[in-house]
Amino acid sequence: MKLTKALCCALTGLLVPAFLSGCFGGGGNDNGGGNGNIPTGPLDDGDLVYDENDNIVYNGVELKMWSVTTGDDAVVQDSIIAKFNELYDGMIRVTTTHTSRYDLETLMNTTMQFDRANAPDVFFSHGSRAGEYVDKGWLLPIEPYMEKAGIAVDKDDYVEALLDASSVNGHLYGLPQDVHSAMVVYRADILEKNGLEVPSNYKELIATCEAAIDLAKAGNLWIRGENSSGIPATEWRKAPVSTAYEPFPMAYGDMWVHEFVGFTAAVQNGATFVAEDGKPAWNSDEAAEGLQVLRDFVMPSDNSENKYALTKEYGSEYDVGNAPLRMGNSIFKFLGPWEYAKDLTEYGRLLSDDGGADNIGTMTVSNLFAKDTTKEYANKIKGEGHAFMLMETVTSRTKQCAAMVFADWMVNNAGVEWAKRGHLPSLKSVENSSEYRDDPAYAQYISKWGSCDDYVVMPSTKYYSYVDKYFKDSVQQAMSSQFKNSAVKSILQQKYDDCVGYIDLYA
Amino acid sequence: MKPVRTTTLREYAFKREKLNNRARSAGSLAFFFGPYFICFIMFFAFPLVLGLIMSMSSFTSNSVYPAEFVGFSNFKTVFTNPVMIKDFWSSVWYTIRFALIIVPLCIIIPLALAMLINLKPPGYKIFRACIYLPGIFPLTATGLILLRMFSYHNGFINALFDISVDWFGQTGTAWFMVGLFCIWGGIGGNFIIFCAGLENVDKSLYEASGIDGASPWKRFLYVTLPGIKPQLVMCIFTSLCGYMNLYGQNYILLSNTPDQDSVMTAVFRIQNMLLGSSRSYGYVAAMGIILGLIIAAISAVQMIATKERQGGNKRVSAFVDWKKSQ
Repeated sequence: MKLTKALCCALTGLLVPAFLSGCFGGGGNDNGGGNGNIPTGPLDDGDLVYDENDNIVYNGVELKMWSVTTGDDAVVQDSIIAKFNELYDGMIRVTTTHTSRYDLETLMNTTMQFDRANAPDVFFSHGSRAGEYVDKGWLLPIEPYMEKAGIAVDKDDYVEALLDASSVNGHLYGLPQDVHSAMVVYRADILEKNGLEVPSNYKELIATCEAAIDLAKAGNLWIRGENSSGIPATEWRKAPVSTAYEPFPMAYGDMWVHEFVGFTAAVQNGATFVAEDGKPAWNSDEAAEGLQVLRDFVMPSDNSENKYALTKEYGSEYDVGNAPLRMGNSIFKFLGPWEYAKDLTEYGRLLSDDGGADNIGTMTVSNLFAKDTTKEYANKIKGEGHAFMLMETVTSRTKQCAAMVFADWMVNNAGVEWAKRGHLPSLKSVENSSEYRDDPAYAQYISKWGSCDDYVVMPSTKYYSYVDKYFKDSVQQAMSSQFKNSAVKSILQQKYDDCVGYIDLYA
Repeated sequence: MKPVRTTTLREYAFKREKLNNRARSAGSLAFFFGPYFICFIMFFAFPLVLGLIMSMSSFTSNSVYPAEFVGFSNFKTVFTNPVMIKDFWSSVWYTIRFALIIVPLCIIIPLALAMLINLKPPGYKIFRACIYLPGIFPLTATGLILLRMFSYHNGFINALFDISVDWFGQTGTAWFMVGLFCIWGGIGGNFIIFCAGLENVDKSLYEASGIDGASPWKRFLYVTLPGIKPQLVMCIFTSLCGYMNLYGQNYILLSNTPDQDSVMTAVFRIQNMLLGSSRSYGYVAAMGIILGLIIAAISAVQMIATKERQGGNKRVSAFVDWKKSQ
C-alpha cells in the first residue's frame, strides 16, 4: 500500500511540472501569429563588418542549406554549389543536406519546434509552399536582407507567377530559381514510319492517337522496340490485332499525372486554383472540363472528342512505367524532364543500330488538353518552382546577407546545367543569355519544353496542403472507373466542400 | 540532567539489519522496477496525460504546444461538425465492421491450424515454421509482395486465373485484400499461442471423454476450448485491440485506391488530419481519446462476455457439499 502511494506521489511529482512547463505556449515559437517576422524599418547593421570600400566582409561564413532535391538533381545541385564555394572560398561556404519532399517538411517541422539551433539557414523548397511556411513562422521576408546585402531584385526579370507564388501579403519570402513540370516523350520513329504527325494540341493529339489505333486494328501499325520474342529492338513488326493498342498510357497513380497533368488540364481550360481568400477555387466548370478531358482519354463516351480510349485503365497501378514506350506498345508517355537525359541514353543504346536517341522526341504538355486552343490560357502548363528561402532562425546579419548573396548567385548562375534537369530558369535574362541558348542541349531538348513564361504555379496560400491534396484526390476519382457514374463537377464539388470544411474548422 | 538513552547491542543490531534490509529492498526495487517505471512515465503516462491536455486545447499554426484551454469544445466538434461526422465517424464505423469480421477469422484460422499441428503429422515443425513465417517479415515487405501478386495488369494472380480485377482499386476488393494481408501476416502470433495452449490441455480428459463416447466435436467443445480458454481470451483481446488500431496495412495497400474515404480506418484518418499546420492537433487528440474509449468499451464487453462464470463453481461446491453429507 505504501509502495503504491509512493509511486503515485512520484508519478504526480514528475508529471505536473512537466505539463506546467510544456503546455500552453511554453517553448513555442511566437512570432506574431504566423505572419512572419517582418522587419518594420530599415535593418540595422547587426554584426556586419564593412571594408574601406563599404563592402560587407564575409569571413568564413558557414551556411547550412536543406534542399528538396534528391537523386541526380541533388548531384547536379551539389556541383553548382561547389562552384559557388570555390568562387567564395574563405568567405562563404554552403553545405547542403538533401531530403526527399515527402520527409522534408516533417523534418523541418520537428526541427523548428524542438531543435531550432540545428535548423538550416537556407531552405530550398517549392516556392508555392511559402505561404504555408510563413503561416508556421519559419521564414523571413528576403527583400530587406537582399537590400542590406546590396543586391537589387529586378522583379521584371523574373517570371511573375513565380514571384507571386513566393509572396505573402506583398512581401517576398523566396527567391525563385526555376520552374518544372511533366512533359511528353514520344516515339518519333513510330510516328514517322506510320506517316503520323507529332501533335501540337488537343485535337491533333486525339487525331494522331486514333489514327494509330485504327492502323493497329487493321493490322497495319508498324512498331518496334524491346520485346520478349527474340525480335531485335530495331526490327519493325506489326502491332498485334488481338490486343487494343494504347498510344498514350496514363494512370491516375502516376506521379506526373498526379502532380502536374491534372492541374494542367484544368488550367488549359481556364480554371484557377486559389481564391482571393486563399481557399480553393477549383470547384469550377472550367476545372471540370479539364478533368473531363482526362477522363475521356481513359473512358471515352458518346460526347467525348475521342471515340477510342487512348490508354487502358491502369486503375490503382502506381505507375505506367517505361515499358510500353520502350516496347513500342505506345507512342507517347508522360515523364519528369529531369529523367529525359536517362531516356536519351537508354534509347541511344536500345536503337543504337538505327538512329539511337534520335528515335525519341520531347515536347511540352502545352495545349494538349485545351478544348479551345484560341484562349490565352490554352498553352499554359502547371509547374512547380524551387525557391531559396531564408529561415527565421538566422539572427546573424552577416549570415542573412551571405544567404542572399548565395541565393542570388545560384539564380543567376545555375543556368543551363540546371535546365538540363528540366528546371527552366526563373530569370528571363538567364533564359535569353547566349551561354544558355548556345548549349547543344538547348536546341536538342530544353527549347522543346517551352519558356518559363508558359508555366503557371499554385499561387501563394497558407492552405496550400489542402488546396493541393483535395484537387489531386479529385483528379484520381475523375479518372477512375469506380466513379465513372459520377459527374466530374460533382466530384470536384464534394472534394471542395470537404477541403473548405477543414479549412474553416481550423480557422 | 537528562537521562542518557542507551541502546542494547541487540536493539542496535536489529535496527541496523532493518535499515540494511530496507536499503536492499529499495535497491532491488529500483533496479528491477526503475527502467520499467521510467519507460512507463515517458511512453505511457506522459503521452496519455499530454494527449488529454491536447484534446482540451486549441493550437495555432506555428507551435505544437497548446495555445489555449478550450475544455470539451474539441470533443463537441468531433461529435457535431459535419466534416468530422462524415470523415471520422465513418472511418470508425468501417474499422469496427472490419474488426468484427477479421477478429473471428484471426482466431478460427490459427486455432484450426494449431489443432492440425497438434496432431503432430510428419514434418509438423516445418509447417509450424511456415505458418509463423509471414509474421516475422516487416509489414512493408509483406505488403509489397501482395501488391505485386495482385497487381491489376502484371499480377500473378490475375494471370493465373485469367481474370482482370483491380484488387486495390475497388472498395470491396480493397478491403478483401486488407483482410487477406491481416490473415496472412497476422495469424502467426495467435497460432503460436494456441499451439502452446493445446500442448497443455490434459490428455487424460480426451481419453476419458473418448471412453464416455464423446464425439470429436463435443471433445473440442467441452475439452479443448475450456482447456485453452485463457489463451483464447487473450488472443481475442489483443486481436481486437490491434485491428481497431489498423493503419499500416491500409496505408501500404490502399494509398492509391481512388475512394479513399471508404478505405480509411480511424487511425489512418487521424494520421491524415495532421496535414498542413498544427491547428488540427486539438481535434486529432480528441479523436484519439474517443477512439481509445471506444476500443476500451468494446474490449470491456468482450472481457465480460468471456469472463469465468461463478455459477459453475457454485454447482461444484454444492456437489462437494452433497458428497460430504453422504
